[in-house]
This record gives sequence, structure tokens and C-alpha cells, in this order.
Amino acid sequence: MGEATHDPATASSATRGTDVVVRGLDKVYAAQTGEHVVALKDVSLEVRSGEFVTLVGPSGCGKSTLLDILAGLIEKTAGTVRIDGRDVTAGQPSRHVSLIFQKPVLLPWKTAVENVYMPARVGEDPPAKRRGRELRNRAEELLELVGLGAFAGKYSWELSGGMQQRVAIARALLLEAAVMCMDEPFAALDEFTREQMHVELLRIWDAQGFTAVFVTHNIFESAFLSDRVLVMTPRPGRIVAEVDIDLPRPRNQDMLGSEAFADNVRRIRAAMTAHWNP
Amino acid sequence: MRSNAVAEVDEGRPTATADGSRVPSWARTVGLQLTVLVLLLGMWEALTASGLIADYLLPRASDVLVVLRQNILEIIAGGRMRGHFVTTLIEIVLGFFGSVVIGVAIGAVLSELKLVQRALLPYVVAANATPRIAFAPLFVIWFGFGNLSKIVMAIAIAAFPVIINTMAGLAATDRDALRLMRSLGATRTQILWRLRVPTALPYLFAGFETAILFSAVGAVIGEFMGGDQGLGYVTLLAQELFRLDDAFAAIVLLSIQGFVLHRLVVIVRKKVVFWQVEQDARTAK
Repeated sequence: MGEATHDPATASSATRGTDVVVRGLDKVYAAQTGEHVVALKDVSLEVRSGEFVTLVGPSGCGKSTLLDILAGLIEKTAGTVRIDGRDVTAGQPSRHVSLIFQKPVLLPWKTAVENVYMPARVGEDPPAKRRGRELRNRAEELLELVGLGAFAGKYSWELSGGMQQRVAIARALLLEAAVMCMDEPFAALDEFTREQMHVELLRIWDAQGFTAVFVTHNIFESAFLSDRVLVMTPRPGRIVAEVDIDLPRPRNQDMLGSEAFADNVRRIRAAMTAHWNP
Repeated sequence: MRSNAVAEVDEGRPTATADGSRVPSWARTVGLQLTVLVLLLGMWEALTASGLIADYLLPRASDVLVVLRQNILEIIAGGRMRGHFVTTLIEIVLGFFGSVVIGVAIGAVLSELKLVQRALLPYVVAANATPRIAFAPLFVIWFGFGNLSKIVMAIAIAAFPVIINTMAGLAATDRDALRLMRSLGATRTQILWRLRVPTALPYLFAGFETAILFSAVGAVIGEFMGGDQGLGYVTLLAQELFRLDDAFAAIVLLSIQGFVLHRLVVIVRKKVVFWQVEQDARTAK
């Protein structure tokens, strides 16, 4: 409990019951000027099955790059990345990871339920081929789960920003990916909607039991949602500290004013300032 | 790129009649527009009938209307004018579809094959910057005095907005939408047809709306250069004979053709790209 300097060596022994294992991950970009930009430096982390872990840090600390590597979207420079026991290779995305972005990125020519069903229709071997009916039903159930059962036939432009993001969450759940990677999913929402979405997300996480890797620059958000917060600092992007959150679950909005919550926020902030002076 | 779509005025939306009037707002708008037409025609008639503007410079509005009525009757009944009207209509429509097919094909090749784009883009831009009207005499030599030289002229002008909007549309795909598709293992073909093409459609239709108008310009220029058919030919002949009322009547018919054809493209766009219309309406509110 409490703040501990992040030490990958102690967090590496067991891989059973672990969904995400990252060891010694480096990512170097070749910038257009010819120089090299180190986006991630010796990043190691593990996320247990069903755990809710948040990466918190300022802009440019490589949080999004890390998610892109986890999702198999971009090449890593060095290190190993394993999800659900399998090595992640760039260009060969696995259905073990699903992504949620800051923008909902719904297709405006499709209804809410069609957007949720969309992942079933793509890929070398689209899941819809064999499990079409089952996944259609699941898409409708997931809309119910995120509280949009009555909006299945609506188009994205008929939904509010918070509702659109709920559709995106339902879409990410369709193929039952083990790990849900979220890249500042609520950053574009207003404060009230965001607080509602926090409670909603935790309820859905509890119901579906996926492993959550959540990226944010909002310390309060990270404290409220997580089991564990990994603090990142930029130039080069690395994990400098790990903070265990000792708030009980299920969490609710009343906790936001509690001394315990303030204490967790303080510890995250302290970990950040101890390692970073902008 | 979407100026056409944006500049559109929505006159059909029923609004609450705050002043208690029972006349719906669209009817009042149409009434207003007709009033303007009557006023302009009245001023025109007054200026020409009074001799303030000589009749060899501007024909009387009433004379133009008489000729126009005669022309329209001929078009309906199948007289001499119908041939001219239909000829130009066919040239514009074929020029438009030619522009759509050629423009989308060239735009797609340029945006998908980067090597081709690097090799050809400066020449496409240069061709677009060249006044294609300068080619009109050549097209007559190459393609004769018939419809073909007119259609080629129309395509030469109207294909460019389609090329440019196709390229812009295929480049407009949202970065996160691409990340999403890739993370789901979508193939290149799936990304093209399920994401990039639908994303490009609003751009394509903005190009089509410009193309239908440019096609009309090209067809008339083609008719000016040679041949003995079409409303452009009628206009030119009437001007040479100082029959200004005939010329104006033919111009009004060209204007009606252009207006109706453009409306048709807009109607198809609203059906096909229904999400864009709704999104625009919502952002405008």
C-alpha cells in the first residue's frame, strides 16, 4: 500500500492470472528532422486479469503510444509485450484487445446497434460468418447494458456525447476482448456527464469482468476508477511510480468528497511531482 | 470543398408562426421570391417600353415572355425547339456522367497509388489551371460538329471538381476510425468500402453538384464553336440576327435546365448522404 517506486523486477514473477505483461519496452520514433525521439523508455508493467489499471501522466509521456503497441497497431523498438499469454505483433492485431478513444468514432451512416455490431463484420475471418445471430443479439444486450436499449435504431448524430461514448463502450465489448484499452475516453465530455460515465464504466466493468487499461491525464479520474495507478513522466516516456488505490468497491460519487479519496489523489500527485519538474 | 452544400438555404422548415399568421413559412418565402421576380420583370418592362433602354440593346420583357411561351409550347408539342432543348439536355447529362466516371476514377487512382500521384499531380493541377475553353476549337477538329465535341468539352471542364473532391474525400478519413478498424483486424478492402468510401461520399456529392453546373457551361461553349443544334447554338444564332428576344428566351431555358438538373443532384445527395444533411442541420442550429 502507498506509493512505491515502480520496480519491474518485483512485479514480474508470476504470469498466471495476468492479462498484460510488458517488459523492457522501448519505442523510438525517427522524426522527420532525422533525429530520434524516445517515446517510451524501458517500460515494464503487469496487469492482472480483471484488474483496473490507469496510466496517468502529462501530455507527451507516451501513454497513447503504449496503448497503440498493446493493441498491435504500431511496432515496438525493443522489449516484449504479451496479452493473454500471446506475443503482440504489430500489424497482426488480436481480438484480445479492444480500444476506446477520446472520440466515440461511430460511423454516422449506421445506427447505434449497427455500430455495436460492426466489429463482427470485419477481419480476415469475420466473426459474423459463424456467430452472426448470436452477436446480433449480444449487440442489442450490450446496448441495454450501457443503458441505451431504447436507442438501438438511432444514428450517432441523434445521440448526446455521453450516449455516443456508451455506444463505443458497447462496441468494444462485442467480441469479449480480455483487455479493454481506453485512451482518455471521457476527456471530451462535460464534468457532470464525465462523473456519471465513471460510475457507469465501473458498473459495466464489474458486470463484464474485463481487464481495464485506462489512460488519462486526470488524477481525480485515475484515483476514482482504478485498483492501481501507474504514474508516467515524459521525455522519455516511462513509468516512475505505482500507487495502489485503497478505496473500497463498489465506488460511488459520494466518495469524491471523502478524506480517503483526497488522500489517494495526494499520493498520486506526490508521486508525479517527485519525478517530474516541467 | 463543400461550399455548395453549405451555401444551401433551407426554406422548407416549418417554423412556429409567432405573429399568429396561418400562412406556413415556406409559402411566405415562395410569395416573397415571386414578388421579387414580378418586381424585376416590371422594372425591366418599364425601362424598355419607355425607351430608356433601346430595344437593340435589351428586348422588352413581355416580348421575351411571348417567345418563351412559344418555345415551351413547341418543346411540349414536339416542335423545332424540342430538338434544341433535348440536344443540350443530353449533352449536359452525358457530360456530367462522363465527368463522374472519369473524375472518380482519376481521383481514386491518384489518391490510392502514391507513385502515380507523385508523378502526375503537378500535371493535373496544371491542367486544372489551364482554361479548357481554349481547347474548344481543337475539340471540333478532333471530335467533329456533332454531340461528341460538346460532351468532351463538358467533361474537360466538369471532371476536375470531381477529381479534386474525390481525392479530398478519400483523404478525409478520421485517424481514430482507422486505428479502430486496424485494431479489429479489418482488411484493406474492408477499410476502403466500410470506412473510407462512405466518409468520402459527402465530398463526392459536393463535387457532383459543381460538375452538373460546369457540364452545362461546357456544353454551351461546345455549341458556340460549331454545329447547328442546341440551346447554345440558338442563342448564338439569335444574337447574330439581332433577335435579342429569341436569345433571352433560349438563355432562360438553359437556366431552367441548369436549375432543375442541379436540384436533382441535390435531391439524390440528400437521399444517399442522409447523415451529412442531418449533421449539418444540427450544427447550424
